[in-house]
Amino acid sequence: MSNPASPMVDWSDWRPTIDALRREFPILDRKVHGDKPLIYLDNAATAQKPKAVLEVLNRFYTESNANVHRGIHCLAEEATEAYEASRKTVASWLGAPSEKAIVFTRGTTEAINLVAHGWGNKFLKPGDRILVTEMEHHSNLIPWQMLARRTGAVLDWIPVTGDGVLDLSRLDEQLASTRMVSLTHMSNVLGTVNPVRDVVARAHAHGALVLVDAAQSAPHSLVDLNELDCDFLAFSGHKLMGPTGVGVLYGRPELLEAMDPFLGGGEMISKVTWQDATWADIPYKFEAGTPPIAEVIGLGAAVRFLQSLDWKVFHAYSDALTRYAIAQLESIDGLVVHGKAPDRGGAISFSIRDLHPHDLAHFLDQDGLAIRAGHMCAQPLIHQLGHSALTRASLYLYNLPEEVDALVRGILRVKEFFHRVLG
Amino acid sequence: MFLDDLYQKILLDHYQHPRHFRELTDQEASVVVENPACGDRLRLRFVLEGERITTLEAHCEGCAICTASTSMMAESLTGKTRAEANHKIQGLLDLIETGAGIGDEELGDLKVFEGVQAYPGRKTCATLAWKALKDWLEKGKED
Repeated sequence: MSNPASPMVDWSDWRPTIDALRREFPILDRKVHGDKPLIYLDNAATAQKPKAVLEVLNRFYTESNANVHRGIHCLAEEATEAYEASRKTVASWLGAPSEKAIVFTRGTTEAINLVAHGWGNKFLKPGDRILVTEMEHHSNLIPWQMLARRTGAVLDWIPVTGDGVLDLSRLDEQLASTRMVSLTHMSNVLGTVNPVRDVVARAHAHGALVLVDAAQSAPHSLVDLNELDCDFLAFSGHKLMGPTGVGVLYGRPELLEAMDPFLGGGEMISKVTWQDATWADIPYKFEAGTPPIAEVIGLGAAVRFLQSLDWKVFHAYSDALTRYAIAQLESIDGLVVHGKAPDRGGAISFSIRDLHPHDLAHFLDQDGLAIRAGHMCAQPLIHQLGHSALTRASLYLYNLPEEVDALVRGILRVKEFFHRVLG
Repeated sequence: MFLDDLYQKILLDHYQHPRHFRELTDQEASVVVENPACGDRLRLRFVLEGERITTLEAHCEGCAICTASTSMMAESLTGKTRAEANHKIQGLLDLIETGAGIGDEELGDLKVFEGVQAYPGRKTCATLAWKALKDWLEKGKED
C-alpha cells in the first residue's frame, strides 16, 4: 500500500457478497447490552455458525439421533451414514489420500495430544529432539513438554523475530536429531502465516516428521495436504463455523497404522478377552467411545459451507480488510500492532500505552464490541513481546470495514476517557 | 454509564497513585499470584508481627481494577490484626460474589467494588490480592 495510514479501499464490489454471507449467520443480528448491535471480532477464539450448520444439527437430533457403527436399525444407519459422509467431505476438502487418514477428535488440542501419546510414547527415545516454534498456542506446546518429560526427549524452539516471523536461519542445525517438528500454520497472536512447505521439505530431508496446527488456517481454507506435504495436521470444527467439541487429525495412513491407540474403550477394538484386546483398523483405532456424532455431522456441514464459497473473492476481501484494520489501528497514538509478517491473516494483536487490555476490552464490550484481552493461550510469546497481556481483534469473512471503524472509535473513546480522568 | 462511574472513582485515586506499591522481586514477595485470565503477575509482601499485619506491600502491572483493588487492600489492612483483616477480606469477597457483605460503614471506599458483581469476567481482577492474602493468613495459622 502506498499510504498505509489511510488506505483508500473501494468496498462496493465486495459488499453484496459479504451482505449475502452475513444473512446466513442469525447471531450477527443480535443486540447486546440493550440496544448495541453485536460487533463480533473474536473469531480466532471461535467463529459464528451459519444456518446450514444450525439446521443440520437440529435435523440430526430431531430426525436421526442414534449411536453410530453398531445398531441394526434405521436411525443407526442414518446416523452412521451421515457421520461417515463427514469423513469423506473432510478428506476430499483437505486432499487426503484416503478417508482412513481422517480421525475425528474433540478438537485441535486432543488431536495433538493423540500424536504426542500414540506416536511419541512409542517412538521417541531419550535425547531425541522435538522442535516447535516460539509462536505456538499452548495446545501445541504443552503436549510436547509433557512428552519430553515422559520420554527424556529434548524440546527446542524455532525463534521468532521482532517482526513476528520465524527465524529459519538455524533450522538445519536445529533439525539434526529432531524426530518431530510441530508448528502452527497461522499464529493466533501474530497472524503470521508460516512457510510450512519449506519447513516440511527441510524437516523431511533430515528424516523428521511434521505436524501442522491448522486451527487458524483451516477456517480460511488454506489447507491443501498436497501442497503442505505434512505428516500430521490438526484443526478444530468450531473455528471454521462448525460446532464445538469436534476436531480433526489427519495422519499419513502408514504412520497412523504404526501408532498406538490414545484412549481405550468401545469402538476402537477388534477382539477383546479378559486379559487383552486387539485394535480396530484406522481411523477407528483412535476413536474410542461414542464420538461427538452430531458435532461431526455439523463439521461436515461447515466444511461444505466453506467449499461453497468463492475463495478468490473471500481471500482478497479478507486480505484487504486485515490491511485496512491494521492501518486504522496503527493510526491511533500509542497503539502498537504486534506481528508484521507480509503473509498474514486477520488475527491482529496490539498493545496501547498506559491502557491495560482488560480495561479496554471491558469498555469496548459496553459498546457491543467483542474482542479478546489476555495472553491468548501463548504466554511465553506474549512475555517475549514484553507484555503480560495483549488485546486482539480477529476478523473473519463476515466482518465489515465499518465494524473496524467502530472498533477504532471505541478505542479512541476509552483512551479519551482515561486521559480525561487521569489528566 | 456505570462502568465510567466505577472507573472514575478508582482511576482518579488508586490506579494513578497506588498505595504501598514498590518494585518487588519474586524472592522478596510473600506470595506471587497470576491472574489466569490475562497472565498479569501480582507480587505481595506481608509482614505479620504477632497477630498484627505491620507491612503490606504490592507490585503489579495489572489492569485498573486489579491495581486499585490491591492498593485499597494495602491501605485498609495495614496495621490490622489477623482477625480484623479476615473479617474485611470476607466482607469484600462477599460483596463481589453476592452483593451481600458487612455493611457500608465498615466497607467504606471498598463499596465501589460492589459494581464488579455485574461483570463476572472482572471478579478475578478485583479479588486477586484479597484471596492471596486470605490464603497466606490461613497458611500462617498452621505454622
